[in-house]
Amino acid sequence: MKLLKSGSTCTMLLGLVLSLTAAAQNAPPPGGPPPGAMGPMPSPADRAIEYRQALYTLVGGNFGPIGAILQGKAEYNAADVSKRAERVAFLATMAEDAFPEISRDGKTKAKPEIWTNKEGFAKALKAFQDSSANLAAVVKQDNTNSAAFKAAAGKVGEACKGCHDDFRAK
Amino acid sequence: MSVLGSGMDSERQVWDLPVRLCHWTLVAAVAGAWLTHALGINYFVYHVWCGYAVLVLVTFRIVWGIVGTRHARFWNFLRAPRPTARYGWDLLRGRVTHYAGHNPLGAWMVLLLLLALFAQALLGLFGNDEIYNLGPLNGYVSYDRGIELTSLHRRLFYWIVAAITLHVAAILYHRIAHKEHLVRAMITGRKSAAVVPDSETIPSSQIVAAVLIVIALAGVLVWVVQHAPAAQNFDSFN
Repeated sequence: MKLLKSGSTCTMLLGLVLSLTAAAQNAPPPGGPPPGAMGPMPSPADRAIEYRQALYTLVGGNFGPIGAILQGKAEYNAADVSKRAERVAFLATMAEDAFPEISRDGKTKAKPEIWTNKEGFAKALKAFQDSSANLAAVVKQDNTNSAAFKAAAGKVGEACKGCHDDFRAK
Repeated sequence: MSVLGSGMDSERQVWDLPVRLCHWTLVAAVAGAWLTHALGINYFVYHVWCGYAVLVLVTFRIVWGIVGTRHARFWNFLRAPRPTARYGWDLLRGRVTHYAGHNPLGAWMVLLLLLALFAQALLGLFGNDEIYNLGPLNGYVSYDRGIELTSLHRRLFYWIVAAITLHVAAILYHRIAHKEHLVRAMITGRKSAAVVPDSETIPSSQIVAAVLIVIALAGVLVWVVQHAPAAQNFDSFN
C-alpha cells in the first residue's frame, strides 16, 4: 500500500525492465497477443472473476469499519456509518450479477456449489441483501450506536459468514 | 460422593491441585472456544477470551512439567519409545501395568495435546475471518499470511478433536477393561495405595508457586497483546 509512496523511481524502473524482459522471454505462441503486450490477455472468465473480487473488496472495505465499531475498536461516526451502510446495501444488489456461470473455473475461491445448488446460493445471497438493506434502514431511522444498530450489523456479519461457510473455499 | 468415604488410608495423593485445576479449566476453555465459534461470528470476543485461557493454562502446564510436583514433571512420566511400545503391546494382550502417575501412552498424549493446543491458540492470535474479526496479533503479519494461519487454525481443530476423542476413549477403556478410575483420580488427586507406593506420593501441591507462575504468564500475555501493532484495516490504503 505504501509501495508507491516509498518505493524509489529507480526500483520501479528496474521492476518495469525486469517484467518486460520476462514478457519477452515467455514469448507467446503464434496467434497470441502481439509482441510487447504485458502477458496474455485476461480471458472472459478471468475478467468475470476479477469483477466479482473487486465487488467483494468494496464490500469488505465498507463493512470492515462497521465491524470495528461493533467490537468497540472504533468510535461510532454517524456520517461514516450511514455512508458505509448504504454502500454495502447497494453493493449487495450487485452481488447477484457477480456469479456468471463463466466465472466458475479459474483462480477463484468460489465453490462449484454456487452453480450446482442454485436455490441454496440464492437464499444465502438474499440473506446478504436483506440484512444489509435492513442495516441501512435502521441507520437511516436512528443513526446512533444503538442496540438495533448492533443487532442489524451483526446480522449482516452472520449473512457473510453463512455464505462463506457454504459457498467459499477455505 | 463415595470417593471421599473410600478410606483415606487406602489412597495416596499423586496429582497436585494445580494439575487438576489446570486440567479441568482447560477442558472448559477448549469447550468454550468451540462453543463460541459455533455460536457465530458475533461471539468472537468470547472466543478470544477462551483462547487466552487455553494459552495461559497450556504454558502453565508446560512450566509445571519442569518445576512442578513429582508426577507433574515431564521427565518423571515420559518414557522412551521402546518401553512405550511394550506397554501398548501388553495392553493389547490384556495385561496392564498400573502407574502412580501417567502410563507411558497417556504420557505422550499429554504432551501431544499440550503442544497441539498451544499451537492452536497461538495460530488463533493471528487470525482473520475476512468479515470483521481479527485476532489480537493479526497486525504482526501480512493480510495473506493471516489468512494462511487462519486456515491452519481451522484445520488443526479437527486433529485436536481426534486427539481428544482418543484421550477420552483410552480413559473409558481403562475404566471398563481394567477398572481404573482415572477421571476420579484427576478430580480428587488420589489413587489407590495399591498402585502408589508410599515413596511416590506427593507431600504438597505447591499452590503458591503455581499461582505465581500463572500470574506471570498472564502478565506476559497481556503485555504482548497490548503492544501488538494495530491490524491493517480493509480500507486503510494510505
